[in-house]
Amino acid sequence: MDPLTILTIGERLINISVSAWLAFRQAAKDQGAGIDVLDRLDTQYQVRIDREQRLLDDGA
Amino acid sequence: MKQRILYPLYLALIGCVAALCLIGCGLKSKPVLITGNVAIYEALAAIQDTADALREKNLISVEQRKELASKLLPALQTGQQLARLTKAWPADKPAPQELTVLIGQLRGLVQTVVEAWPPSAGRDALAAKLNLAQSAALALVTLFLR
Repeated sequence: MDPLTILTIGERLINISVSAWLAFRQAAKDQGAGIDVLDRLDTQYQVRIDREQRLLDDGA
Repeated sequence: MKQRILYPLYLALIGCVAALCLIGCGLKSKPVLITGNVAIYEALAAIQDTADALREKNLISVEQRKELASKLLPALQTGQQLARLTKAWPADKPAPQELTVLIGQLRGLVQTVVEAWPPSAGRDALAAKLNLAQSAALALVTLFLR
């Protein structure tokens, strides 16, 4: 693997941890404010599920 | 390379801060489960985005991307099921057994996603870092469900 690819993957891996932590913190705040995190989470999952399903169906 | 070296440190700090925050706030099991699921969702979403980015740059083939999709889809569906079950769980009742089962399933499914990751796209690094993050999040959730 060339260095640029390694850096790209490394950056992505860091993004996984940072975005997970930010979402984690935001979810805790939203729950405290009475926002229904689960409804939003359900919708977010559905969008991702549809994306993967389309990929499998179309082979795009 | 520097980013790769720093990554475990970021991860350790995140896990430590999250655990301290949760324990310090005295959150009960349902809120912990919700935030844990949010973190799992974000990790799965980031894996999906990364897989798409690798495919766009032709670093993985269409077949490899489809193989990943076949593993990622059940993980996402289980995460969604977990969210729905959590919503249906009355806060004043003990956690349903099914929740613990789903969490166990999710752990296994995430593992299959990592195993399906192409070695040329950094599977070993992903496996090491993600396992650590998932273990921390799921162990925390399981702990609060007991």
